[in-house]
Amino acid sequence: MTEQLFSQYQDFERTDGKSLIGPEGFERLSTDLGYDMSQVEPLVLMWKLGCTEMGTVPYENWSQSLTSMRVGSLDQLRKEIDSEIDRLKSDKKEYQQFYRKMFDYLKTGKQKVISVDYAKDILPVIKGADNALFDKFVAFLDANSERIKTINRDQWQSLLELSRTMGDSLADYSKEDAWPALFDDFAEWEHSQK
Amino acid sequence: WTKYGDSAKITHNIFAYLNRHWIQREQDEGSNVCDVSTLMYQLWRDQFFMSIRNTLLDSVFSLMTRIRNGQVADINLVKSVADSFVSLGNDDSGIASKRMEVYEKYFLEPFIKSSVEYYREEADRLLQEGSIIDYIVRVSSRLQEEDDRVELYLHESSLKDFKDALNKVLVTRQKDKFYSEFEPLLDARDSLNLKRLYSLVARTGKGSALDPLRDIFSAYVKKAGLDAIKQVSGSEETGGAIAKEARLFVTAVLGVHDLFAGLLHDAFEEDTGFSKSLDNACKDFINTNAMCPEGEARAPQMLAHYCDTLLKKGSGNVRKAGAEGASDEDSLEAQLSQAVCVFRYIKAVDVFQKFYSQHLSRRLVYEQSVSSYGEEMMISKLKEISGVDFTSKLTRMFTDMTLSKEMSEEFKEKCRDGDFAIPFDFDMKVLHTVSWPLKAPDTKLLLPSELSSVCSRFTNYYQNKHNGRKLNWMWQHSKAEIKMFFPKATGPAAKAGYIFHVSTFQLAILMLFNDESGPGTGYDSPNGPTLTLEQISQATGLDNDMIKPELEIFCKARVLVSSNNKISGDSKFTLNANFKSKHLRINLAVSKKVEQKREATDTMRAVDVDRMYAIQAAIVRIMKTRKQLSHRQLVEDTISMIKLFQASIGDIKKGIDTLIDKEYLERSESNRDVYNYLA
Repeated sequence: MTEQLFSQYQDFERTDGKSLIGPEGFERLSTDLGYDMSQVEPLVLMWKLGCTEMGTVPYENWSQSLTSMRVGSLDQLRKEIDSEIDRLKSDKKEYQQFYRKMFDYLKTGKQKVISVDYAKDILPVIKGADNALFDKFVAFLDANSERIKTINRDQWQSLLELSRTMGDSLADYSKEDAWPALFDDFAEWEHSQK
Repeated sequence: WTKYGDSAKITHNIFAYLNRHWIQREQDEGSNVCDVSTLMYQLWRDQFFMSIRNTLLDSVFSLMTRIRNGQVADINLVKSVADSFVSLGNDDSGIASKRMEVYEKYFLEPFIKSSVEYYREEADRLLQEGSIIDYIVRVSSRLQEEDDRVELYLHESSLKDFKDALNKVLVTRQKDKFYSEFEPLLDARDSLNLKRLYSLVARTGKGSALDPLRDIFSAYVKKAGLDAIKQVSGSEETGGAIAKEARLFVTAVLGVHDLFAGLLHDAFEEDTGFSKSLDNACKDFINTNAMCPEGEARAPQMLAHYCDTLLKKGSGNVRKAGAEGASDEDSLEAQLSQAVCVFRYIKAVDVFQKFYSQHLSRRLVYEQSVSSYGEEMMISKLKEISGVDFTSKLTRMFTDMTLSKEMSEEFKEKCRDGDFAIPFDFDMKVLHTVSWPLKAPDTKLLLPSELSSVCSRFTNYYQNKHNGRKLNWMWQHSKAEIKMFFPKATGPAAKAGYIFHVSTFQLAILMLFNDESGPGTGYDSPNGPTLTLEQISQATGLDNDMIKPELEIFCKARVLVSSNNKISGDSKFTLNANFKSKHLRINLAVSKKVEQKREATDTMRAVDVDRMYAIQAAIVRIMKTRKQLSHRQLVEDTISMIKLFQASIGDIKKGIDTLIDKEYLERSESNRDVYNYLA
């Protein structure tokens, strides 16, 4: 059953002999599940399926994930993803894993950083209830697009911590704390926005 | 009393036998029997002394008062009374601690009390009648009197208590008045009264009592320093010339420092606390003031420049000969010592080092040192303070100079042996890249043929001598002297020609005008060839941007003439046949102000880069040892590990970020305030 499902979306045009679902097939899968590509569902789907890159699932990961989720059909998959999205709203640890994985998907090639544009696109989409700071951060990146072109992993991961600790404002931010230097600039900018 | 004492002694001896045997035995058995002399003293005390005690004391006190009022009285009487009190303490049991009891209770306490009363009255009276200064003078002498006198009659164990009591009534009570009088005395530079004030307050303890004064002193010095520098910063005479600015700055600083160091010596007995106050104040006002904005590290730059003027020939530095006609070298040493004195207070030491080594390299390469003894003296002084890391590079520069001289000789000899005649006076210096702050050239140059043969020959020679080393010719730092004969010259110039001091680039350009077979046109004209910008560029390999300024210099000096009176693509340049000058030696190789400014910014940029690496290296070193550390602790440790400059928290954070990126460190999962070292 798993195999059958897989072959519906598999990318047969590959020349390297690897069996995987590519971005195109993945998009079809998401649509079939009733998801909007600009929303968070496909991202969660990617994560749960064990995508190695954005929209790419090798067969081993596919079959392993579906087995551990005890899913055999599209309907069941959809139910599972929907409940996962619910879980992410309350389970902090779970959300952190999901959030961190997003960085890997946004990376291209052998780079260790992600482009600011990708970050700006994805942050509003994956924003949860306790990430009020994401919007401000995106605005900050907009305002400094000349200077800041990339985000590294440490900054990405720390952003989640920052938003959870500070709430929706950086009034309590202190330069003497162990935040990446970028956040010092963020705090300064945010304070000047008042 | 004396008589009694004598008879007591005699009686004691008479009964010696009894003392020795029976009493001894009794004492051993623990009964309260005491020997005869003790018994006798006890009798005196109990029967006689207790009753007359008070009268005795009163007369002692009035005796003291008479003495203090300057009247004549016999102090020995007081002494014997004191002694008698002591002796009377010999208790039955003979315990030492109880011995003084009589003395302390019945004599010392009342004595101190009466003395205190006396002086309290006097103090109050003085304060009413006169100023604080008068008070200080009078009290100082009073206390001195008492100090001298007290040893004559008081038992030694009570000296401290007595002095303490006097100090309290005469000094501590007036503490606040003293503190407020301190600053006016500083204003007046009144070292005599400052000394008195200091001694008075010091009597009550050198530590905390003096701290308020130390703080006032520190703030005062700092203000004086800032004011002095503000005064010279507005001065017109510098005209922006950094050398003059530097001299004004250093002179102002030294003026303030020496003034207060003098006070420290004269009035404060080189007190360590005051010395520290002076140092802290100097550190503050020297690094950030009207001439040195915060964070720009101008102070070390100016100090380095000042040292350059001291050590460079022809910098217009007028050295004052010492009063007794001290030698030039001595006065140079004195000035260098002063410069080093300021150096101790510089915070951004790495900036000083970079600029100093730049100035030094220029002095060495252009042979502008005024005295090699002076150079070495300076380096050894710097070594004393900064250690060997910095000065080793400087020493290496000197070594290179010596080695180059030897090599030059050897090379010339080889040429002679090989029958190769060097067609001009050739001198080179080989510099070790790492030790010298000079960059590899970024412009290529096609040498005139006369030079290129010699240079390539030398390159061969060197590479044979030191296999595997690479030589880079630094044309931008090389200079030449060229003798030019102008067709229409008259007088001595006609025979001897004019000597021009030029840079190598300028040389390359000028020699084109010599070359009849070169790219120029019109060689049959009496002025030699005519060349365009394009031709010059092609022949020398230099860019137009490099050539234009040189042509400007040549035209301004009227060595060359431009056909259209400007420097453009269609200008044609020829030698100026009518060139005339009063001087036979002319320097055309002047460095431009713009260049100088650019060099300074480049140097500061290099300093920033070095600092970045220094911070990262420090962080790695710390984390390697500690393996795990909190953010605050890491920042603290990094700041204290770096001695050459003050690392800012922002820069340290950037360093941490970079190291996380390079995977030397990671944030701990469990506590994001903590870093782990990644091996």
